[in-house]
Amino acid sequence: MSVDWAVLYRSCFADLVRFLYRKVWDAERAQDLAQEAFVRVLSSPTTEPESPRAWLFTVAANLARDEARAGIRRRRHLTLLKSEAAVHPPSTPDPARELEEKERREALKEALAALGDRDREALLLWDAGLDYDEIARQTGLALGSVGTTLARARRRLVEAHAALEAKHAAHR
Amino acid sequence: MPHIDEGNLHALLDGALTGDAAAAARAHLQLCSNCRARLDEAERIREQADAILAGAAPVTAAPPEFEEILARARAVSPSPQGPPRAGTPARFGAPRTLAWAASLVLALAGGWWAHELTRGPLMGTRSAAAPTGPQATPATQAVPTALAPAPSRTRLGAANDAPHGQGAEAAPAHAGVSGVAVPASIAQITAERPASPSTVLPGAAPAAPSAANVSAVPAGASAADVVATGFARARKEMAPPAAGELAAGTGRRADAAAPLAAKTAVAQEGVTAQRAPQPSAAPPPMPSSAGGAEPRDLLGPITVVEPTLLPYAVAPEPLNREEARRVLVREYPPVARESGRGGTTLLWLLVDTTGAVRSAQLKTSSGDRAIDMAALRVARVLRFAPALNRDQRVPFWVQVPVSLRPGDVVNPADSANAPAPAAPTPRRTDVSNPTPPR
Repeated sequence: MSVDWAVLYRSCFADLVRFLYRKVWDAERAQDLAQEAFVRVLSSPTTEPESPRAWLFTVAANLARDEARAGIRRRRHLTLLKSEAAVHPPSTPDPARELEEKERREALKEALAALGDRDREALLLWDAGLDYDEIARQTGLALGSVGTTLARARRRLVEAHAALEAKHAAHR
Repeated sequence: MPHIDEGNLHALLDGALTGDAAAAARAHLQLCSNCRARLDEAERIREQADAILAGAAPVTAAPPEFEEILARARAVSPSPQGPPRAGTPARFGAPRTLAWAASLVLALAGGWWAHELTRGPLMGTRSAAAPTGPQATPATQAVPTALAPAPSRTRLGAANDAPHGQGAEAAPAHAGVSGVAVPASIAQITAERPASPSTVLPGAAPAAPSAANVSAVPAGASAADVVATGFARARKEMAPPAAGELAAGTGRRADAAAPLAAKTAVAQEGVTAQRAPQPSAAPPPMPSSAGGAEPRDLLGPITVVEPTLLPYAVAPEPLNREEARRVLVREYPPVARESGRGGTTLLWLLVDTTGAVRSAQLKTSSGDRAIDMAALRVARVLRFAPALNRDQRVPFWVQVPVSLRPGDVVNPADSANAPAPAAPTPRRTDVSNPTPPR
């Protein structure tokens, strides 16, 4: 097993978690899936993929997609496990901050939902640090249209987010 | 010449437009005020989108050691499903019917897989985690981490052999500073804890995965730079005698129980002399960095402290330095790069108890707004190992100099004929006493 994977693991694990988080919206699940993605990639017979990072994110995206379909029963089970394993009490939460974070999260979630699948995927991959080439490889977009896709995705995200905030403000 | 379409404007901003296309676009931009305005608009959208995305970052425990993941991977017997489904990337362009059929197959496989998982470590993939619970909980992480063969840690033998708990108090704080890897950096930070009573934390070890491999270079090649300021009040009496420059923390959340002291060590010979164990403990260079084409480290600083059982060892350390570098270079405004503009921006980052950057502030501008923006964007991706004080995670501020020069390229190590990385310029920055900005 080449050391490159160790470097890749350390350099992009957090990005992978963030990428997955925007798909499953559960931080612990996201981390679980990120670990699982690495385990799968590392245990695969393919040792030298052309683009390790793109491959990794592909595996992760597939896991997240499976997760979305098979998730419910599993989550329930994990919740059980979690409560059993709660040796350490959670750090004292700050209610105000948590609320604020929750709002931000919900806003992003909704805004992302307003994007087309392909646009969202490209944007999340970009946000996770992949470059145009890797994004093209993973999404099947032509290299030349990654920019257009990202441009549209960003614009829609900003618009959807602004619309949500306006709606939110009106409610208050 | 036609106007530049929006996609190319974004590609230009993303640094993805290269060669003739980039040159043509820039030439056009010089002449066309319309396109310049659209470029500004695209940049605004891009920044807003980044900000929105950065708004919701997952809060997770630190990842387990790579060795643990590797062990899990090796434990995976050839799965009945065959190789991982890596070979089936999501192709949005695939015909609908195919996609539908594929999704059915995937759903079935996924369901089966999930089912297997819920029943226990049948496939062995999760054998490390299954008996105790999800990986993410510190308690369960501690076990495999401690047991996993971690070659990189053998040099920590002394520290690990120290009796747990109270016995560890006797160990000099410096014993924790083994495995110091100094990136080929222009600078080095050290955030050191006072020799406060050390307690062994189950969670401490996994909290900071060994980042020591970032790049290992003799420690002498560095100069100090980043200052970590404890959020909690620094107590002088608790500071190690040899602490040298002590940057007093400010007590915004000064519970007496958490005196995280922060201390800056000036690097160069100063630091190495001060920290005796350091030179001998320097880890062997990772093979990846053996190529010699070490990219210049654009993020100032940092002494990587191998996690040990001493809580202070969990000093603020970016976990994804490599990634941060990539992002930085990618964010390097092409226009600035080509006109030879570079500079160093000084950032103050508030790192929260999860290790995420909660707030980023521009402390000293590089004098070039575009470069400052690029530097600020890196805060979006930086992840630190949470600083620990006893069993408390503590937020802290770090001061990070970020420098960009026209010679910085995305991945010099990848291409043999890439320009040699600029020689590290040792810099000595005054070790100020930063007060977290209000």
